[in-house]
Amino acid sequence: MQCKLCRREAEKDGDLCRYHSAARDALKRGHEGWKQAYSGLSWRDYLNRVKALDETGQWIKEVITLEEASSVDKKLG
Amino acid sequence: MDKLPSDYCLVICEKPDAARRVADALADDGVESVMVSGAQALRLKNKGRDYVVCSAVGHLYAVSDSFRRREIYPVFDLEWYPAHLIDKDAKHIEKRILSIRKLARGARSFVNACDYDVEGETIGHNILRYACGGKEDVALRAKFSTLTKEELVAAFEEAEVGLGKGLAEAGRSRHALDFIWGINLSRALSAALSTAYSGYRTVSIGRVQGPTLGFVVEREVEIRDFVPTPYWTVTGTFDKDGFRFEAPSAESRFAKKVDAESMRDGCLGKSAQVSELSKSVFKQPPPPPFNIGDLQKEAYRSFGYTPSRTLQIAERLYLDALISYPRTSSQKLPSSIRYRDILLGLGKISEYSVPIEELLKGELRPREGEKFDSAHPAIYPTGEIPRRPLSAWEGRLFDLIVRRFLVCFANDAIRERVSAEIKVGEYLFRLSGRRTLKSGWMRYYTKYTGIEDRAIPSLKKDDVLSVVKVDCSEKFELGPQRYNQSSLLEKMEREGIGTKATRAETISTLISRGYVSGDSLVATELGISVVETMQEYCPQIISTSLTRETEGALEEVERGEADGTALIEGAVDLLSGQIERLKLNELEIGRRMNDSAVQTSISQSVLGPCPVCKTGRLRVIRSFKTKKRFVGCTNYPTGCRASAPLPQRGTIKATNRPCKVCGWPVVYIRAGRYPWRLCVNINCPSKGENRYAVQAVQKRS
Repeated sequence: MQCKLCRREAEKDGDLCRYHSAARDALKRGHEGWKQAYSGLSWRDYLNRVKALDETGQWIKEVITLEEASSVDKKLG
Repeated sequence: MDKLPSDYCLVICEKPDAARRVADALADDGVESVMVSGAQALRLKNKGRDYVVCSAVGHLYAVSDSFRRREIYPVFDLEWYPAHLIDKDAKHIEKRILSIRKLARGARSFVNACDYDVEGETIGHNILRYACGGKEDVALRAKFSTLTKEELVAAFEEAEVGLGKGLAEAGRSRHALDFIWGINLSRALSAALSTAYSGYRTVSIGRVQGPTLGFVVEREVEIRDFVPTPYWTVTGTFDKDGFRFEAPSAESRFAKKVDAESMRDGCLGKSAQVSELSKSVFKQPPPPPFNIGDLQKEAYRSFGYTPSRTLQIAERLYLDALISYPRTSSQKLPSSIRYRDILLGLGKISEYSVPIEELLKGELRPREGEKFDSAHPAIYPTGEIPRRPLSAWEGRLFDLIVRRFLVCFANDAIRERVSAEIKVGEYLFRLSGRRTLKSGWMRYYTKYTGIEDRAIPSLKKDDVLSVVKVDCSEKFELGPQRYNQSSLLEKMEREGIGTKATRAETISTLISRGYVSGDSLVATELGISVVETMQEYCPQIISTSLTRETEGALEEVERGEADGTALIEGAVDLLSGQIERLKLNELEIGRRMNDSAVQTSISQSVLGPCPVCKTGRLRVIRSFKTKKRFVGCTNYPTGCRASAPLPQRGTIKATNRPCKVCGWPVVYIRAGRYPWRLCVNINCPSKGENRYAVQAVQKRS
């Protein structure tokens, strides 16, 4: 299966390639650090803030876009 | 041939400029130029004996397989061939070889006077072996590090047989190894790509190129996967007798916002006191003399010269006998180079006369680094004055080399480190500064030191200060930095891959292949894809450890401690299996690399944003019908008709700068000797009849 974000092959039992999958893991790990730093921060606020930073990696930003799109899909039902 | 003597000593040099220097240095009277088979040779008499000096133009022989067809691989049966039989752009080499062959027939003895290093020895050895009919074991070797008359004369007086035998074997083994790795892997990858890619694209990977690309890609992955972490800093503004200054908190960063805010709030309304004040004086010794790696790094830092550019300029200065041989890893300056004579020579150049006068008053003992190179000393100026006006590029590099040489003889700089601790309640702020007490060597190297004084206000212990304000700032960790050409070269050096002579060239190849781009080296999709493929199918090939081991083995060959043939046989064994794996998975590899090759081609052809539709990008397109290239907008399918013709000859590179007049992209075109910049907009007001009016307006504004 192809990665949802690029043309690389998706990892076994996953929907993303190894790079985007690693980016998603890094993003999740990062949230823990941010929550502690700000004494609490919602997932959505975290994504918004990380996405706006110039220092954020390209694959992280792509994963955030995907996360945002999937949360909209969930809302729409 | 009539003009040649009947019995002479044939001297072989690496380049025509070096040949001229050698001939001028040895000649009792004058030097006579003679044409032999369309190539120039120089005839002279030295102590009454006849000499003929001829030159190569770099490598006249190259290693290749007998097929020389890119679809045949693996190939392991190698031979040395005249370079013009392999490279169609090397036609001029045929004349050189013919000329040397003719000259060799009438020669009684031979001297190899090529540069004394692995490449020079290989060039000389191959000429003596193939063009002179097996004279490599009887030829004398002249060893020199500068092209000055004194050193050349001494080198010819002390020339010996068999001096660079190890170097030649190491050089020939290195060429064979690089060919076996490079040609087989590159052919395998190119063949794989051609199964899926519509055009032809050379995909190359080499013994040193692979791990070097690996470094850039590894960093690229880290950057693209980077999540910044927030942190906070606290800075206090203090007042002492009306003088205000800032000091950061002793804890340089706070991981939690609440902790930083609590410090800020805890300081409000309190007074501050200098609780600790310390001063220490330290010596700052001058930097060691340049080897090629250090010179390339310093030239990049000071002038932005790429490592390959620096090497090119340094070689030009060497051929002009202004500096010693630049391809050296040594940081040593032996006394045999005669420091005083060099300084006296340089003292004739007005801008160095004052520092040299000062230096000559003291004892001349240079500061040296630890690195040693048995072939050559560190890079130093010869003391000769430029006989032609140096270009701005050359002038800057020459000045850098001269000044670095001067500072090696200068005294240490004496500097002072001052630090103060300021207590506000339970919180601590720290202030630190440095200043130069005695400039020592720094005064000769001011332009290049990069060392600045950081003064702090004059404070005494227990001084009471008022707290003006305390600020708390949110910051984010910076991600890993991309390599630039200089830091990548440093990384290669640290990891022990490549040689001092070839590292810069390896980086240039990565750029020309489209694997990396930009000043700060960004790995392209194709570069990432090549590394992915190698990691999956033949990880050993791009492993740093294997390349490092091979370099170590080649050094043993150089020292005569190992056999080059065994090394090549080992490489053949290793590669056979790996190539087989690539071949078996050709279709899969081709499919994977195709997307990234297409993406890289597209991004390389983009010149800049489209000034017409504002959303598309202008790129170089080749017409299917006419095969001509032109500029078109990526939004053509949705209606943007922005287009412009392009010159059909030469290479086109994006400058990433819009035209100041019309906003269309400016490109850099190289066709023939002189490159030029061109605004691609055919209707740009800066062109044609309007250009004088535009220039006048620009001048006025």
